[in-house]
Amino acid sequence: MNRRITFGITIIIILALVAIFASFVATHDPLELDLSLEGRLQGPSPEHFFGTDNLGRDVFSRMVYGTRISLSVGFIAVFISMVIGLFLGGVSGYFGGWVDSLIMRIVEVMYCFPTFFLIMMVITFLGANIVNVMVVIGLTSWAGLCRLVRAEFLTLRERDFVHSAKVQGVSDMRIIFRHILPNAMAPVYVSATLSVGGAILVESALSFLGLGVQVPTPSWGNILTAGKNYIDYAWWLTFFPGVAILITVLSFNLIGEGLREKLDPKLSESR
Amino acid sequence: MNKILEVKNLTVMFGETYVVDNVSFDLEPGKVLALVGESGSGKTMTALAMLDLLPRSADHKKGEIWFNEQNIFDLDPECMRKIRGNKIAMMFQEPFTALNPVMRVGKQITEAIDAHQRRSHDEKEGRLNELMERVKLPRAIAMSYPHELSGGMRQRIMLAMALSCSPDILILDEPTTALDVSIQKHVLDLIKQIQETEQFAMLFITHDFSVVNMIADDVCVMKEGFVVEKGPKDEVLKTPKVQYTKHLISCIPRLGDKRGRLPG
Ligand SMILES: Nc1ncnc2c1ncn2[C@@H]1O[C@H](COP(=O)(O)OP(=O)(O)OP(=O)(O)O)[C@@H](O)[C@H]1O
Ligand SMILES: [Mg+2]
Repeated sequence: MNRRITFGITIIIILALVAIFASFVATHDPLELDLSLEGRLQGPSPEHFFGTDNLGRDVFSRMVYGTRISLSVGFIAVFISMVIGLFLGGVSGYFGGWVDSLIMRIVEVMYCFPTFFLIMMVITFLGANIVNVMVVIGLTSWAGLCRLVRAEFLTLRERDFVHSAKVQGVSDMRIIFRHILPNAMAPVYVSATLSVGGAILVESALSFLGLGVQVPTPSWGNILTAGKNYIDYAWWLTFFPGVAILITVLSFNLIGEGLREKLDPKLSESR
Repeated sequence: MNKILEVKNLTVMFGETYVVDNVSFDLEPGKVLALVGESGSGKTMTALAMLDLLPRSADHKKGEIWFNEQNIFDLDPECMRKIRGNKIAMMFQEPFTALNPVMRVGKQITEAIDAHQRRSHDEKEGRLNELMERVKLPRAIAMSYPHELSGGMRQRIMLAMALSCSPDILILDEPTTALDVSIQKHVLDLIKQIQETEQFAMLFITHDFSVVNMIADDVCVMKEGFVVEKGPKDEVLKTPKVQYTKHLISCIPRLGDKRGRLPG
């Protein structure tokens, strides 16, 4: 297997295990305060691996729980955007005509809005919590995937096996989902993997701005927020969450790029 | 004469060009009609019209196609879908592209059954066994993906697909052109044999009179969208009336010098 994919997947599996077994991995209660002068803003030590924050909470444990947020936002948001993108892109590319024009106009409108500001607006409206964040990221990030799927469908729908299914009397929806879609999945996997990283970044940014996961629930983004006021003398508060975000996003991108490399030659071969 | 399908004055146009021009013929149960003509003479378009599956760019069509006392062009899309693969089945020219590359061939054979009949898993398995036997393939082949099979095997799979709902009419569009000559012969024999046992009406499209000779009862010769000659096989083969038919007959390739493609 491709080395980038192996590396990326290893990291993601480790993070997933950390997220699932957060209560075992964490060394402290992530919400436990220690407001004593010695307890606050301690540097990394064997007792507190990543130090403590301005309220004396253990940063390592907070980050361990934050992994849950980041990964679930990444996966669920991308799942939502995939369902929408696959459905609308498939219908658009398969049927063409006015259905296609309509869906493509919607996609263009989505492209016109700066997505991040759109998300910020909607979250401000609906209220900041993790469920809203996942759903809103999902609802606003399907346009690229929709275009990609549509383009795949435009070529695949002219293939003989699609005609052959039509001649058999197979229904349109079944042709779209059982015959064409499985043949269009390779680029979809690539794009979805890359979007997971993107969604995690957006969540961190939202939490950093106070529009995502609300304190005291820990997320990588809001640990960063707390850290920004102390960046001069408590580097660990921004360094560790920053690195965690970097590594996670990088891992998803490596998997995506690796997949692209692996799948593309096969794609051109079978066309 | 009992007709099962009647094509009346069928005309198909792409913009200003006539690709099928005033074509009429009938199909009878248990009989094989060969539709012969050079490449581009409109054979495939005639066949697609019978399933109401002409390409979108075919913007004008005229005429009538009567099946079961209904004009196919008057049916709504859902009624038409229920006829396709169920009452009128079609098998394509290209065994290398007409199967879905990522679906097991057994599953593809039962697609039409899923589309038209409510059948339990066991009933479908039973039918699949029957069909595999009918096309003389080992049952285990049904678990393969298309790229694992040779051209001749895929052709048989496609035949099994077309036969799955026991259609009244089977349309075959140059089913053997892409195959090696010896394999071609096997597949043709098989088709002929199945047609004789099941007694469906068959429209066999080809440009090769040696194939016509083997399989057909009647012949309909097309040129540039027109029917130029029509009649019982022996009559047309022995005493062709038009020059074009004579030319096609003289082109019968001798065994061995046919454009051969190695089975994959
Ligand atoms: N989508 C299309 N748009 C425009 N013209 C088309 C289209 N498909 C086919 N044609 C034209 O229609 C005519 C008839 O084509 P058809 O496929 O019916 O021929 P055929 O007799 O089946 O030939 P072959 O033996 O090569 O299969 C051809 O001249 C072809 O160029
Ligand atoms: Mg043709």
